[in-house]
Amino acid sequence: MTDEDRLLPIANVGRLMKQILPSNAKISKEAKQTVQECATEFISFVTCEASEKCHRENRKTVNGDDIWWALSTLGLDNYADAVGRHLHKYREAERERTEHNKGSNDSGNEKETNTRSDVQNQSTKFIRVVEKGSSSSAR
Amino acid sequence: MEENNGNNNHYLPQPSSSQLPPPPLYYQSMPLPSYSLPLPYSPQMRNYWIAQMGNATDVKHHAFPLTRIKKIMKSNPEVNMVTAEAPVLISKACEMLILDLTMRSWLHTVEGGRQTLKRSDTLTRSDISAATTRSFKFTFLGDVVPRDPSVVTDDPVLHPDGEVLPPGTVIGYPVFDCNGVYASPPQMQEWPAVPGDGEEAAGEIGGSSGGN
Repeated sequence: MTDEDRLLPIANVGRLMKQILPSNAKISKEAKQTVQECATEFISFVTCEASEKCHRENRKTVNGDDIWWALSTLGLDNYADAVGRHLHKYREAERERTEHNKGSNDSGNEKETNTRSDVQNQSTKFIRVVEKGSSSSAR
Repeated sequence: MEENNGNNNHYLPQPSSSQLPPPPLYYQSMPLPSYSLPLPYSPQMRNYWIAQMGNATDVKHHAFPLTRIKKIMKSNPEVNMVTAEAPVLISKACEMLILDLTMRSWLHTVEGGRQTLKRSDTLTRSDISAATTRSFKFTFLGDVVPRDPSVVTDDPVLHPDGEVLPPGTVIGYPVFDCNGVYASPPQMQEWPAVPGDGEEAAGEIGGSSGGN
């Protein structure tokens, strides 16, 4: 993994920093780089804690609850609270999406059967027309 | 300078009561602890966190590429597999960390400008260093950002009796009781004492008991 791949994109970091500062504020390049490194360290720190929890519970997959738990354990209660809400919304959105997909799949299947029957009807009509044409030409 | 100071609140969105979604049952929102906020800037930070709690966030929009986050997570050899929701939450947490850290650093920039009586509008590495030093929750960034020795932490230290001491106080526990008999130190509440303190206290008390 290259050095750039090891860090979050600096453009995104800079954009976020600008977003919260007054319009007259300037940010030095080294400040952006420092925050970029801080964010990367933060990811490793939280992931490590979540991963240890999974290891203790004999699980191989780190999930959202583990991340939430890690933030709470590490004393970042404000972050944990906001992330908990985000997780709740994310799961709701996912559930809605799966339900929507299921619904669209069902309606898609119905449409498909209808179109198939239409195609069959059209093809039989076409065959009849061709047969008529050939019989008339034979006469 | 006054302009800067006046501007500090404009970037902190004020949540309207209609926007706040009902909190999910298993993540009950708790009152924000005062000790997690820098004391001179509590109102700004409090507004920021209230806004974060109340924001109807768009779960489809992510501040960072999830593939990059997943790569960083998997750079830890202990991590085998990661669900789709984990990088989404990490992205959200990183976004909050960056906003939080930037805001704290900027408040330090403004404070520095006020003290030196010059207009300062550039955020530097030293401001970030000061911001991380000011709060205990950023101690994990010690390897990335060297702690600023000139800055005193803003987090009040909790006394074992529950009394809040002024910021920057460090509690040391004597190793001997008043009779010169070795006593086991009480359980630490929040942060252990500086390594030198306990030894000095032990030496003084031990010396006086030896005289008796």
